Amino acid sequence: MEQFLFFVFSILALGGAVGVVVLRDPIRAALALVGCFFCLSCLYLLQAAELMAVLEVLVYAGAIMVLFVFVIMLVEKHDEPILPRNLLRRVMAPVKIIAVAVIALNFAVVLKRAKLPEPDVMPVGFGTAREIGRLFFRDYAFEFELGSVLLLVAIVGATMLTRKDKKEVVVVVETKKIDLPTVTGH
Amino acid sequence: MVPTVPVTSYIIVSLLLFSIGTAGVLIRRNAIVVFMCIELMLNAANLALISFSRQHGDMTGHIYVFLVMAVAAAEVSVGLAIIIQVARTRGTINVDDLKDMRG
Repeated sequence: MEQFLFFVFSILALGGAVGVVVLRDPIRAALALVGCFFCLSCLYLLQAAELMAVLEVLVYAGAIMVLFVFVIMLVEKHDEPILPRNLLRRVMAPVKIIAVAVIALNFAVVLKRAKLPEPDVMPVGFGTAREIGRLFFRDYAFEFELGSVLLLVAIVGATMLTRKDKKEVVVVVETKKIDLPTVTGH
Repeated sequence: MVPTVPVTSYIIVSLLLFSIGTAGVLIRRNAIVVFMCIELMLNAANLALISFSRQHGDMTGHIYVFLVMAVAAAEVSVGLAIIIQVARTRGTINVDDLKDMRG
């Protein structure tokens, strides 16, 4: 049963990932990515990572992808040409794919030879919110706080970046106008 | 619960996801899609972390995944803000056309 679920969800996840790369419409690519995240969260659940599976759906499929879809709709539609205009890039695209595939194949061979040991017995309460919370506040409190500060800084930075401040633009234009005659006067 | 799927299978899936994400970053030219492919790569890394975490019966990998999610959220919010500003000022988000800072 576990093997069957693993195959179904990993194939669906890989299909969603391929969809992100192949689909031309960014909205469709975003939806393929949401499907991929759902399947990934099921794979997490198969590995007894309950809290992480829930967070995957909440944070990735929920919050982050909503942000993506908003931005896709905010930015006007810029259709990407199927083939790049530059001839060199047109030739390079398959070469890049082959290069990535070769590297992936190398890693797969190494993995095949590595013979990873069989999983240990999982401790009681593995992957539950209670145990992860205990670990966070006992051993990794500093990292947790660092993550919170990072998120706060990101919020402030994002709002500053997207703010339309017309006053500043006017000031910049005016100083340029004043600077010009003083330079020519010398 | 006795796990029947070996850890190697999960790592292979993670490897494939990461490769697809890398290929997407290399060949797509829409900045938003490039960002989505980076998210795909981060998730492939998360899957590997969770698999190794189960293999060792140690939950430190879950802590890593949690922090990766926090960093990804921060990265996406700032990155998309930058993309919006670029689209406003340049009128394009094609990464081939945005080459002013090329040396």
